[in-house]
Amino acid sequence: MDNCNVPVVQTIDLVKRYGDGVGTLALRGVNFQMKQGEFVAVVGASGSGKSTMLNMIGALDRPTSGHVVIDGHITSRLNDEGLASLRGDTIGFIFQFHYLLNEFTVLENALMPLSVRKGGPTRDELAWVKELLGRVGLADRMKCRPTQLSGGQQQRAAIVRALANRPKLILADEPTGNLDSQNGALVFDMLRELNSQFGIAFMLVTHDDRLAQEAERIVMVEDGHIVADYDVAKVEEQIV
Amino acid sequence: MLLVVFLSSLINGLQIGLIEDMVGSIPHVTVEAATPGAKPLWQMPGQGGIRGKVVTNLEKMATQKRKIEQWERVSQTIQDLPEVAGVAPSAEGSGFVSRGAKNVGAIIIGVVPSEQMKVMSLQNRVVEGDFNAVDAQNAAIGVKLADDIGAKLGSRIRLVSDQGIIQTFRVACLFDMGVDQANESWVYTGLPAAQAMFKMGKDITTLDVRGKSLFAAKRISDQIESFSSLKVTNWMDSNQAFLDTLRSQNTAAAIIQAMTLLASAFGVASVMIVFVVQKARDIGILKSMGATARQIQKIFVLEGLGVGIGGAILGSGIGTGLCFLAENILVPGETFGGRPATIVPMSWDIKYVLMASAVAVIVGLLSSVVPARRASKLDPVEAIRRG
Repeated sequence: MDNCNVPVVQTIDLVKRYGDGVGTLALRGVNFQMKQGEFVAVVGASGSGKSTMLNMIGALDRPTSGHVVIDGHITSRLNDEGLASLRGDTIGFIFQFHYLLNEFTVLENALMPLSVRKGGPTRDELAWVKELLGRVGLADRMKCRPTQLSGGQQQRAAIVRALANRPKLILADEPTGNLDSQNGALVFDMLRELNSQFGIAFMLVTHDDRLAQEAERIVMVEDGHIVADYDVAKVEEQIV
Repeated sequence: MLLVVFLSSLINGLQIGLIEDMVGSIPHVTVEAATPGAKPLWQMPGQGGIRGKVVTNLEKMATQKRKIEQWERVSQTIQDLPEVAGVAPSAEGSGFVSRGAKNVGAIIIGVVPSEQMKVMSLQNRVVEGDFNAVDAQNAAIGVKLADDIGAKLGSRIRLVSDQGIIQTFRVACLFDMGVDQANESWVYTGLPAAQAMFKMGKDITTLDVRGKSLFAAKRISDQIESFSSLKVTNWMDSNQAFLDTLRSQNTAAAIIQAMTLLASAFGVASVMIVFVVQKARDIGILKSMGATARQIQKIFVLEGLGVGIGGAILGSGIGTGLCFLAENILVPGETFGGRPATIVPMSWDIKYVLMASAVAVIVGLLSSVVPARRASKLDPVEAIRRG
């Protein structure tokens, strides 16, 4: 581990069991680390536990045992308020579906994390969100309702929303899963660009191997275990 | 909400009407000299040598009502009671009314009209003429009695007291007390005229008392009994069955209103729960953005408050509108509580509206608490997946 680089994500023997009694073990002791600015793709078959892992890391769900450390905070030691502020200030979420709120305009949706956390954006934050919307090609759609946008545009608006509070970590669960391949590639490129430009760590759950190959690092999950974890560049080097 | 305003107005209207009908024509409390009934002698008042006294009293009773002694003093004492609004003396006795060849038994009541008006709601009861005109030459008679003897306003009638004194009066006023017995036998004359006809001198037989509130009657009557041995009757004791009916009606009304409130609370709560289910995904998203449970709870409690306030405004408006509408539908030719009868008697009061509004807002708030807690406890992963 690079000493000057505190891990933004660390999991220690992470176990998640669903249901009472024996239940289903979704995660069976996952140890995982992620540095700031890393772009990690988590791949695996459906039901392998990759989404569960993402939810644990995103503090959306509590582990059965083990620990998740996000940016130095041990999530199991935080109360609900603490988890909420961790989610709000440190993490951004992108889901398979855009989940924009239809009652609000695109701009209002993109500003929503700031409204939720602080009651509204500062002038700088507003400029930042507008700039991001411009970058993803939604400059002229800010006043539209989400229903007036195409699927790709909606997902891009959702990406801006995830970035609004300048998080250290973006968790994306199949962000291109609901898009056609062209739009999917576009959105993926956008994520990659935001990653390299702002140094935000990205953890991307996907079952699209082709997209995963574009990441820096691939983590393979199977049956609640990490079965492979490698840097794409190094592997390619070895192959070459 | 609407129902609460409407029901309160209706039930209160009904009761005011009924009580007016029942009590308006009679004084709240009547004070008379004690009339000895068939009591064992040892229960009679006074000490020693009572036997002779009692017998004389009973003999007197047979012909004439007993007089109240020193009535001015008694009247003043009653007037000074805190809950008393007015006291009126009257001299009462039986006799006949005759006009031409017709002779009808009557109760002749001598009153001071201005005083009597204060203790009975006579203004609503006057059909024709002016009760204030009643004096030594002018009398007021019931409509039924007027019919029976063929008298009209301005007709001359002759009164014969049980003391054999005859006097002629002009009919100056016709009244309808809403009670047959009064309408077919009561004759009001001036107090001195009646006193003369019954050879009473300056004495009277009855003090009619009006309380500041209808329901003070029982207390006033107890107070009078505590300082005098006079016979005191009040409308509440005389109409116990009616009062019991009113009381059970009140209970029934309260139960109906409570049920209505409960139903509307469940209504609000279920609407809110549906809302929470509908918005589950949005709640999950807001939570993923760092919304705290408290923030989510606040949204739904405010929503409930909104529903409550909206319901209060809408309900009061429509309820009040309905009340006024119902109040203006008259049933021709009928009266209720001395006023023209409406299809349903209403008594709308801003008090009910404010009360019901406050309740609606509280109910809205309370019934949003459970859904709000539910919303705030939603597991974001579940909420997002399910939505």
